[in-house]
Amino acid sequence: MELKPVIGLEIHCQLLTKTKLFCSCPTDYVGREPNTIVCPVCLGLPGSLPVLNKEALKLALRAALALNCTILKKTRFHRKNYFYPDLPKAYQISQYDIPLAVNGYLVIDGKRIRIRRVHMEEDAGKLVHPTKTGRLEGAEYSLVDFNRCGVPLIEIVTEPDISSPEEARNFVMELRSLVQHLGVSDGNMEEGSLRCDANISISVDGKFGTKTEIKNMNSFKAIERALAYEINRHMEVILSGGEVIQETRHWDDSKGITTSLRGKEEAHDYRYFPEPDLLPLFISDEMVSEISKTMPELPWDRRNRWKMDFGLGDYEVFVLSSSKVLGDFFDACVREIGKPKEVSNWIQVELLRIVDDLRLKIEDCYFAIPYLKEVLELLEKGVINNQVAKAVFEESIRERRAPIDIVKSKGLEQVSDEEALKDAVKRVLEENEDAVKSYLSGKDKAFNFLLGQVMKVTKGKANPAVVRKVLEEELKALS
Amino acid sequence: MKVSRGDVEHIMKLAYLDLKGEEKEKMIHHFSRILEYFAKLQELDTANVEPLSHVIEESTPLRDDEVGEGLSQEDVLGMAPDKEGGYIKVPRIV
Repeated sequence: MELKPVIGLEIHCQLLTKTKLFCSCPTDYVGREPNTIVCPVCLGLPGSLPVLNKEALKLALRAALALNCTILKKTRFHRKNYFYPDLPKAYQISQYDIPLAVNGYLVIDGKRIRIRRVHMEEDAGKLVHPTKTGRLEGAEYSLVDFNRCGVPLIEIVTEPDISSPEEARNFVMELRSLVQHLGVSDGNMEEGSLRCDANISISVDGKFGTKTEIKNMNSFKAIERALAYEINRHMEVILSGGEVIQETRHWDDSKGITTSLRGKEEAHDYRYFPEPDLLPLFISDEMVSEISKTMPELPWDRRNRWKMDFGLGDYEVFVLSSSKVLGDFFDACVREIGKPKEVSNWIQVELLRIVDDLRLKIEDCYFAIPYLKEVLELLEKGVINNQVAKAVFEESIRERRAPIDIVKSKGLEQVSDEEALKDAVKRVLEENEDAVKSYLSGKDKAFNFLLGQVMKVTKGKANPAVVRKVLEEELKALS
Repeated sequence: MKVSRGDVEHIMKLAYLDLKGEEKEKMIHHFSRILEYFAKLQELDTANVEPLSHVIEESTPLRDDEVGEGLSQEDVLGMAPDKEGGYIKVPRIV
């Protein structure tokens, strides 16, 4: 019996428009007083009429084109009807039988994951449950904030082409990078501007199994863990001769399990019908070609450029393209400094660590570009050695002080003068007779110990190459 | 086409309606009449007719992405039966 996981994803992205999908209320609801950016349209008050946001349409088309989709020339909106307190109209304006775009794909590690459809819809409001966990269960009442109501979303639905939790995570990472590069969405999973649900089943000897839907996966890690958990759960049910029940399940990140949401989301019957308050939507060839022409650089083009022009490796370009802000920062550094390989290395090894330690954001680090430039020059000219360069770079960012000032005021210039280092080497040899003996008796490891000691007594400022040379000479003289 | 009591009860649930016995019977009758009418329509041959969802064959108007005035929080909460700290308060959901 051959068991294979079959995974399809549904991803919602909030579009980076100033206003909502069908009304002129602003979309920046994060941190706002509840119920302060709403109007008769997004509250669904009688007599109000929705009017489609042109920018939202453009962003949705841009995403669909970047996902290699076919844009449908005539599309329309539907009402999806259900009662829930976060939905004041009791229906969501969404798309149903004729979405904006169909039949695309996104390539993940050389494999095409097909995109079934991309459509536009409006977001719902937010509910606050006054329970300890913030979850709905056990709440005596709930509180509603309609600020998010009507914020434009695109829903991207894949075919069930994904075969592992890792592949699912990589897909969402690449999609996030894509929408960021496109300026379509900020792709922030923690704040919910990118949300991912998964459909999962196990095929037995090539025959599709019953699927479950998983919700509430709020990070890349959660996607991987939740899917791994759910695959195991399905496998156990199947191997013990049971049957998987078709249902929606909630991922509990702290417990590391999925639990059934049955009862809450019973018998979905949305009674879709064409939205009578909106006319159909015709997408002109002009609009599509206009958007194609103004397409920004896509993540895979960017990675190729870095590989071809800068000679960077697969792993390097993967890290640098993991978020658009990091890639932008890298490009800005190379424009200013040149030396792409060194710059890439310094960003990945040093800067990312420093940014993490100091709790900075990459986008706020542009001030550090001249510092990096200076550090690399000091290093190249041999003024400081590599170890000192790293420490100076970190300090320059922390103190917002030019590296050359730090080097001068602390006297960190590298010592390359053989005569000056000879004294230090001799002193180390005198103080470490055992190590010298063991080196002379053939234990090469002792050499590195002695070298380290010289670096220590010179406070790390010695030129390691020169120390090596002097040390070799002095030891030779002893043997 | 006969509508069952179960069909009506399902629709009631989806519509959040609470109907009494005789009202349900009335609905069974009304729903059946509606479906009979559609059954009549379905006798027509529409094989070569494009489905129509909107009578006006024009593209829906588009709006520029510019922020406009909305309602005040006071006005919004004033329409709700109950409120708490800027939120609208609703009864227990499950």
